Amino acid sequence: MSEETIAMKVARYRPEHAAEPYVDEYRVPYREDMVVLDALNQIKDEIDGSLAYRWSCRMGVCGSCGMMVNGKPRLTCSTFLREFYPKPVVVEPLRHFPVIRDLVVDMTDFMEKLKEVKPWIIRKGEKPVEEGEYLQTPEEVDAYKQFSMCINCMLCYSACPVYGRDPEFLGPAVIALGRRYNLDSRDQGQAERREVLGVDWGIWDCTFVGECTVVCPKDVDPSAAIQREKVATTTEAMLSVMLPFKGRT
Amino acid sequence: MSKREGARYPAYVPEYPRSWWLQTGPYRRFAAREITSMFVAAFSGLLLLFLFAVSRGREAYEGFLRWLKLPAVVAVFAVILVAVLYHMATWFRLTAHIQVVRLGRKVVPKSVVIAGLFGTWVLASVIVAYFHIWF
Amino acid sequence: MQTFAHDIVIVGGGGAGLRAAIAAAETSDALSIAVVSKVYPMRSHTVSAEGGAAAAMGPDDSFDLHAFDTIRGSDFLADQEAVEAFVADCPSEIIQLEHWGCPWNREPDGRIAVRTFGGMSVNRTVFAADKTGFHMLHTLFQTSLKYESIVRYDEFFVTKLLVEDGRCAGVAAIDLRDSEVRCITAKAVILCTGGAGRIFSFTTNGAIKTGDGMALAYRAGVPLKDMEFVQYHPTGLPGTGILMTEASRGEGGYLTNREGKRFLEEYIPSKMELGPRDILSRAIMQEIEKGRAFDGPYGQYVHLDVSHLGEKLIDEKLPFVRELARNFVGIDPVHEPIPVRPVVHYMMGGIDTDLAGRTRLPGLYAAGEAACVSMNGANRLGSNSLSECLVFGARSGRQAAEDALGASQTDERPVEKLAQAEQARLVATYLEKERGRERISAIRRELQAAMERGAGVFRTEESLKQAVEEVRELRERYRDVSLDDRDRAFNTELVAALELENMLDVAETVVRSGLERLESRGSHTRRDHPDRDDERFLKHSLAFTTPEGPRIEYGDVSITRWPPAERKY
Repeated sequence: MSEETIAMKVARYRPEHAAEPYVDEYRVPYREDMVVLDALNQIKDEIDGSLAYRWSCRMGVCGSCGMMVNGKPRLTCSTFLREFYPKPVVVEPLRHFPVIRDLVVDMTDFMEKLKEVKPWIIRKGEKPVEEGEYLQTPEEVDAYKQFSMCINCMLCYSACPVYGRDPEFLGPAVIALGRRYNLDSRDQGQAERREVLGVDWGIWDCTFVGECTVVCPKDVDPSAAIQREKVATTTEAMLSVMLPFKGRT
Repeated sequence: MSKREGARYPAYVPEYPRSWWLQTGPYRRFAAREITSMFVAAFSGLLLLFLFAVSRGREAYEGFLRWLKLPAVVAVFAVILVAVLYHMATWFRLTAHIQVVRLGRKVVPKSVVIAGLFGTWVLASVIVAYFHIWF
Repeated sequence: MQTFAHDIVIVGGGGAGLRAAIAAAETSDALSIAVVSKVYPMRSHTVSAEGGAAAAMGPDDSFDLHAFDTIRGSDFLADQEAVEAFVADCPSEIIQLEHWGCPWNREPDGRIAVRTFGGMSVNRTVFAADKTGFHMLHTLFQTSLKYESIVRYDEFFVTKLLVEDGRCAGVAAIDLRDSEVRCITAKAVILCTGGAGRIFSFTTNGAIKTGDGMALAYRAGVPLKDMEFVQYHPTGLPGTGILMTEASRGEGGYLTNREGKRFLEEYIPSKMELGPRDILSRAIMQEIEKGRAFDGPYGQYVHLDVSHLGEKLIDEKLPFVRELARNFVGIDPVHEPIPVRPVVHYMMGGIDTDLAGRTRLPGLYAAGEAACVSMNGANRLGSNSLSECLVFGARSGRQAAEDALGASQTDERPVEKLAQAEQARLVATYLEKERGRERISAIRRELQAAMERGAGVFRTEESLKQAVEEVRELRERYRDVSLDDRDRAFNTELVAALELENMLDVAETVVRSGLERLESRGSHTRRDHPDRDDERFLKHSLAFTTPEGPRIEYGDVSITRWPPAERKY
């Protein structure tokens, strides 16, 4: 009985052996319900234990398993092989990041930028916990909910040509997260975050290519977040010129 | 704060290609959209020439209209028109994307917003055409 | 040897670990707190929790009621003192998280909403759509970035606790970037590494749940408590094991068999789909044994039906369930029932601690799923675990902080020597060892299969004995294991090997404790001992490490105001 198989072309990078990346080709058994991650696990378990990659939850919520699949940034745990079968599947590390090893990229830049945007509730005065929760209506939750769904998978950074050309750019996920807090009715830190976001390497570097939104597996829509932040920042700047003495946050 | 001393093994940093904007469909369409803004500028240029001609008196104005009817000029501005329409279509789509229209807790679907924008353009075009044809 | 000195080292950056870090940072900003995690914190498995976090906050609720529900749910094995402390802290933890920005679902008037959950007599499960763990973890992680005193070691794998002079004085951890051991010293070490669902082949748990902290403590002489109690969540997708949250039943979903019947009527008519997880898992397994389940390529299953709840409610309260069902089994729950079967989900057992997270090794603490206080006893109620992470994460963080502030600086050099020995051991055992005959993946697969067979929902003496022998044999075979990957840069096979060793240790305690508990209680069900035996076994099992395997002792259960009774629903 012949078993169906599929060809996997996997990018490798082993700095202790070679200065340049290369491609290894493997053949794994194919089943209709297999995802790319299953194929990678199959390779690592049965064929070549030296293949290095990140994964954990396998259900599209931890954000570990982002890689380039046939040239597009995808979560390998949620990308089915049947999309490509019987053609070969090309797996490469997430574009626009330095490659540490095989399919593992360096996330340091992203982690540092995450902190820069001050992704926490900033308030002038905190209510003590004993006094209960800050009231927030369902409509107020809706205002920022979408932008809070980011799983930090960084597919948007791989899709963004601005980040590819200019690694200084804060990037879609970070700006969307900044906007999430700016829109949270409990937060009072908009002014502080505008200083971080409203710079050349912040929102103004974005040229609204929109590919970040297209690849986002969680429908966060970061490009919308960035453009809206541009509108909000511009409005705020104009108002502060026209009404300089009005108290603002 | 995160702690990591200098990594012992070199990471591989690929070169970013200068022709990135030709590489995928979405990038090419993006480049096209951006380039058509130059055509929008050309269209505005036309408007300025028109105003200039009007300000110089009847003869200059008639000369300008004759110039506009030259086949070469018509061809050029036909191309500019197509580019401007393409630009307008992309910007209607993007506007709907950026501006969220809400009715209570429900969000108005983007397709409705885009249809609304096109509809407004059609209406404005009809009104302008009406004045142009009948006056 | 690179040495880093901190006041507190927290191993694991999930819900409990991050909460502990923040609690310690808030206790004093003079403390230097390290969070050492083998993955970036937002990848921690807390992220996949869906249903909610329980807290007695409503006017029709009370601490006593929450405590009683928890104790009855635990089949009276929970330490009542711990439960009383737990329920009292839950509401303030929920509010604290809200203040930090967690997007809890709200009532129209703006107050935090609650939903129904299994085994709870009152609606008290606070939730954020059906991605509560995700929102909690990201809120905690993002808030932790505020504190300059919290230093993170991302993608560092702790291989050994450094115990000097009878105290835990730090950890030896390899930086995955270069596989070199770093010596991280501390006055207090808190283990928040989660459970060990990956010792089974069919589990909701992600790849990283390999019981690392449990094994570290166990090997350092700290006993693992109540390890035989493994929770099977009733509703996992066949094949992948992906969790279908209890909230789907909380919102009104039904469980039906092949005949279309809500079969729980035969097993727990008073609670039906909202019964405790162990009872439901047994019921589903019995339906399967009676031939009333559906056949599938990944085993038999029953149906979870939420279609009658309507698209609007599903998109509002269960959007993730809909997304998962569509993506992974191609079913839209709005129109069709979802195939589900019992799946390993949570370990009630873990590192033996007291109410403040202290273990019997001075300087060592534990919190979250990795610990066993015990608050969940023989069976955990849904939505108590996220609250557990917050409450005991905070308690252990504060306790460790106080203890660290009072402790004196100790000499680093003997601790560094221990770390250097660990570096030598790792190189000799894995990176430069002669080729062995065993593959890590083979041993891991066989371990998981052995656990599935021997320590399932229903256990017998034979099945457990068999499992004990098989695990012992696999431990022997592990000595002959060999890596394909001898590189130092991001060697994930080395990590897999270290994780496998931890899994083997933890698995041994599970099956050994199970073999010696001659009764059925909570999630530990023995066909040969089908009844609860309070006289002999109203006790916690304590597994201590010996060269021949775990030695099981027994410890008392704290009983304050709820005398053990028949577990009636």
